Amino acid sequence: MRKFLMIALNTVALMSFAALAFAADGKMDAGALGLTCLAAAIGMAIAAAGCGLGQGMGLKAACEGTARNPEAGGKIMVTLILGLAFIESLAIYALVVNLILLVANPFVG
Amino acid sequence: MLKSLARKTDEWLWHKGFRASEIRLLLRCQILVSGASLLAGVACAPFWDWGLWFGVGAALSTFNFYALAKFVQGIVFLPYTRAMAAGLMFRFYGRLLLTGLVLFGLIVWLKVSVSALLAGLSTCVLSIAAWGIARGAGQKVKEA
Repeated sequence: MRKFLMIALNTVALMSFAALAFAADGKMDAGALGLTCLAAAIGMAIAAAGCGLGQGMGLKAACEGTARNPEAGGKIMVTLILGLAFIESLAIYALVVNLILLVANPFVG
Repeated sequence: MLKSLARKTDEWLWHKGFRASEIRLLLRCQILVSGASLLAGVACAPFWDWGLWFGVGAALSTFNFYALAKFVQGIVFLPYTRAMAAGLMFRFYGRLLLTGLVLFGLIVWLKVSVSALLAGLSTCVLSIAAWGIARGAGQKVKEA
């Protein structure tokens, strides 16, 4: 598992450096553009999946806690709202970074 | 003046259905911070637009936090009906769509300073973290 993770991360790093090298002259060729689009898509997918998992786990725990102890429902709800706000902000950051990569890339003239 | 503004905001939030006092406190702080930064940003806009985009980011973050808190309270407190569930879902996804479109417009069309936008968007996270730290410190003082 660790070996696979290392290989995958190295591949992603190499691909991102290649995109930067292609875009260094101010114009992005088709290969670099494709890699950038792929990176943005994969990045957003990972962010959405992670945030979805996190929110789902938080919601599940909150529902279980409220069902076991309904009197603690108010406190659980407050914690749930704060947790969801934290997680959602991460998804918004990922969206901003992907928008920058796709349409406002600082490495492209 | 600040106290009266805070009290009025608190009353307005109560009328909007925010019954949890902690959430009301956080939302009140967030609304005041984003309003102040937006006003300061508009005032400084002719010679320093970073502040304006910071204020816009803070306002967007506040809107998201407000809508999320309202959504969760709606799920917890409102009696379940099909229309209620459909309305909540519609508003939830509408908010996400609106946030995405606003961010797209700001970054792609207006080409705003991304650092300012991200700093503004982080105000919500920062105020929650500050509230948590303050609450933890208060509890430690009580225990001691």
